Amino acid sequence: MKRGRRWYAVSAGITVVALAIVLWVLLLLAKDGLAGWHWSRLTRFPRELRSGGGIAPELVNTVSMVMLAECFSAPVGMAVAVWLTDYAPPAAWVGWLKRVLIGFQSIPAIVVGLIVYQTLVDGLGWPLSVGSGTIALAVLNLPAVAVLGATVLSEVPGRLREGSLALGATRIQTVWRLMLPAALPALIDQLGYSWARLAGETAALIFTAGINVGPRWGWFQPGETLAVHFWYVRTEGAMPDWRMVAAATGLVLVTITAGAVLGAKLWAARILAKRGVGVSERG
Amino acid sequence: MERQALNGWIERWQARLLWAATLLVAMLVLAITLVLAVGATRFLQSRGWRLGVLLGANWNPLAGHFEIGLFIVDTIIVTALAMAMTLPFGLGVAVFGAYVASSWERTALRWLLTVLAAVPSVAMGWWGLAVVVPGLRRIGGGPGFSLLAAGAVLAVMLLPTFGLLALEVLDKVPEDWHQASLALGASEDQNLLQMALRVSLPGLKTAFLTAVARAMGETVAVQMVIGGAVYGFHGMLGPGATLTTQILTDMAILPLGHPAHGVLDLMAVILLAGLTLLTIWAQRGDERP
Amino acid sequence: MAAITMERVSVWYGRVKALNDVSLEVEPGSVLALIGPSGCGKSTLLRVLNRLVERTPAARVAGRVLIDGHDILAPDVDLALLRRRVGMIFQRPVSFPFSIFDNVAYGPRLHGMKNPHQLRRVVEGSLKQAALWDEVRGKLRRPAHGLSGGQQQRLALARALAVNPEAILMDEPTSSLDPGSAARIEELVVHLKGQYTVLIVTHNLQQAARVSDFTGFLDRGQLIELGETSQIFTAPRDRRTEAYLTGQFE
Ligand SMILES: Nc1ncnc2c1ncn2[C@@H]1O[C@H](COP(=O)(O)OP(=O)(O)O)[C@@H](O)[C@H]1O
Ligand SMILES: [Mg+2]
Repeated sequence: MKRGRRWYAVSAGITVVALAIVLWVLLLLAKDGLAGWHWSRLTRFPRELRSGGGIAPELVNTVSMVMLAECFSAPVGMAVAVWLTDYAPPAAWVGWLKRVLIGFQSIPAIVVGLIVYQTLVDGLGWPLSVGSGTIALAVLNLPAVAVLGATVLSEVPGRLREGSLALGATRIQTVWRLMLPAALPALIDQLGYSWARLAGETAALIFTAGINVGPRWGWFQPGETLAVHFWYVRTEGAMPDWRMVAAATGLVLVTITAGAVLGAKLWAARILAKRGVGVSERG
Repeated sequence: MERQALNGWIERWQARLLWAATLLVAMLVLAITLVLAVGATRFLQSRGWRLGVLLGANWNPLAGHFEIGLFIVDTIIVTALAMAMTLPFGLGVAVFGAYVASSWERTALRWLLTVLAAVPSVAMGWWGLAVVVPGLRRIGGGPGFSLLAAGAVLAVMLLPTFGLLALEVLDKVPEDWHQASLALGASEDQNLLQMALRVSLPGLKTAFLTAVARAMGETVAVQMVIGGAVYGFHGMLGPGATLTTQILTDMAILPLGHPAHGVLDLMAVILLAGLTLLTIWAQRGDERP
Repeated sequence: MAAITMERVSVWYGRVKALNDVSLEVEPGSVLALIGPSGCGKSTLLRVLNRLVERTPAARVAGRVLIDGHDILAPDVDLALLRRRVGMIFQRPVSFPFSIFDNVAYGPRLHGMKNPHQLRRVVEGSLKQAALWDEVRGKLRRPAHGLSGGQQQRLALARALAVNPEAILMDEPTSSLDPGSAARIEELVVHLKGQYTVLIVTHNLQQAARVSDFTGFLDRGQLIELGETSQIFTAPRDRRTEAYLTGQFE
């Protein structure tokens, strides 16, 4: 070991241990999930009291609810981001709004679940359903998109922006033709992460989307997702093969979240590569 | 001429739409705050505004006792345990990734951490049930379901996020500063401890508080391993319940529409108040010159 | 004051050869100016002398470098000690985001000085040597980033002087400063002459002529010519040196 580099060696050791612990979670899940794996799990309905149940409706619910929630919250959140970066007057209340949004970015999911439960389910009489769950996910996602979007947009170099305006482009043209394309790779990256976060969300959905599935998909049909099923089966499942069902559900879920993050990162890297920006030395 | 008019019209309407979206989100935030405030107020009113409910530990809804002090204390303990465990590991990962790793190791580490940071918390809870709870039962006796188990599960859950955030902070220390420090005869260790970590403190503080906020707000991963004990404090190796886990447990049990349901809003308000303080603290003095 | 000798020193960054067989000698207490077009290896030459080149992972150094007769490229050399003896000032002034006092005290503290009185004496002495004392006395607890660029460069000099070096490397120390601040740094270099061995890289030929005893001209990694400054500027021996000095360089 080189003299005066003790802490470097320590940090390398810590990194190995830390990664080993976190990977332990994934490897154990893979091992238990693959034990007794059968592809029919992906196409069958769950069974409450018998072995061999599947997760087909949960899979459909997860993907559809996350997509619907993103379809609502991503454009609205980005609109807020654009307004905050390019249109907001330099007023004190705008600063406050930003701060409040940053605060709400870390709102506990259970609190969102509680509010949707009290307003939609109790107040409006909506059932525990795909619809209630989707709204909960969208509410959870909105401040995150607005804040992260604004961060990404504000990192587009100011001279690009001014150059475009100086050439006679209107503000909105600048946004569409310059800012969003320039920020696209970073935005795709964020989208992948937000997809994964919503797909893995549990606390906000237990009492909004519910812990059951319906006979068919529908806005007001029960909307249990993979994450909720994973939680429910592991803590309260009564089927004989609950261990296998839980681990298999978890494995599918983790595959989806990792796929979303990696897919988005690869896509973003490809766009950057096409633009001739190599992966930076530090990246 | 006509084209210009059309462009102007589009421009105006798009600007209005952006403003409408902002208004919508602002209203949403306001509505959330209001719903919670109304629920919490109704509850406190039904208790005759006795703020002792915040301090006491007598939680027995059937008997009409709604004191939430225990949940506050358990939330703080679990969060502190988690951060104490995740801090050294996260810093180690960050130092390695920012200063020690070769170029490809750094890239691989970043990608790996990003994927791990996106692992759903329920998977961490599952691992806690499979590994941590039985392990603690064997080592420490008792039920295994415990504050310590919750802290450990949270620590593992937060590690990739905190490590990644801290790595970005350390990576932002300008190369000039490293060279200036080394050129004065600093060893790598001295450069790390007396320059790099010191100048990164504000950023590391923000990263740390972001992780604290996630720890405080996490629900299922904690709920799966904490044991849900609401009567009294049982020590680190004993079960407990936090604000978030208790909201989850009682959301469907406390009768909707009854003022008692508002105790959950009060718990949410307390959580949000704590998180607000964290956010303010995190933003204070974080602007690097 | 240290005598510096380089014997057939070459440096590669990966496949790129940045220094090619450079040999030179610097007399103790003299000022050597290094001139030459961008990318010719001036910074690399300086960074060999305190072995900061090694911070670039792909860098490889061959040859011998002697400081007061000791081979500093030997594997068992104490880098901390070497860098303490050979200070360095960079093109862009570097101040750590600490107070003025902590910036200057950074080096002495690294080397184990803890006594506050001693530290204060060293800080004051260094700031006086760097001609910054009058401007910052009584404000030592203020953040260094509040200082102007020229002041920050003098602060960097004070910080380097505080560890009591024998040689000082300056890599274009005035090129990011306004003319007034640059002139003050120049004055300081003249003052340091005789107490320290100074190697200064500059793009400003008048500056080289004003401050240095010797001047070396580098081109594409090679030391084309090194001699007394008056000789280099009035009667260069090599055509390339003459071309560079008269601005006819391609
Ligand atoms: N870190 C590095 N990695 C690769 N090549 C480098 C590095 N630093 C310098 N070089 C190359 O070495 C040569 C000399 O550089 P340098 O010593 O900085 O020149 P100067 O200071 O005279 O402008 C240049 O061709 C430059 O491109
Ligand atoms: Mg240079």
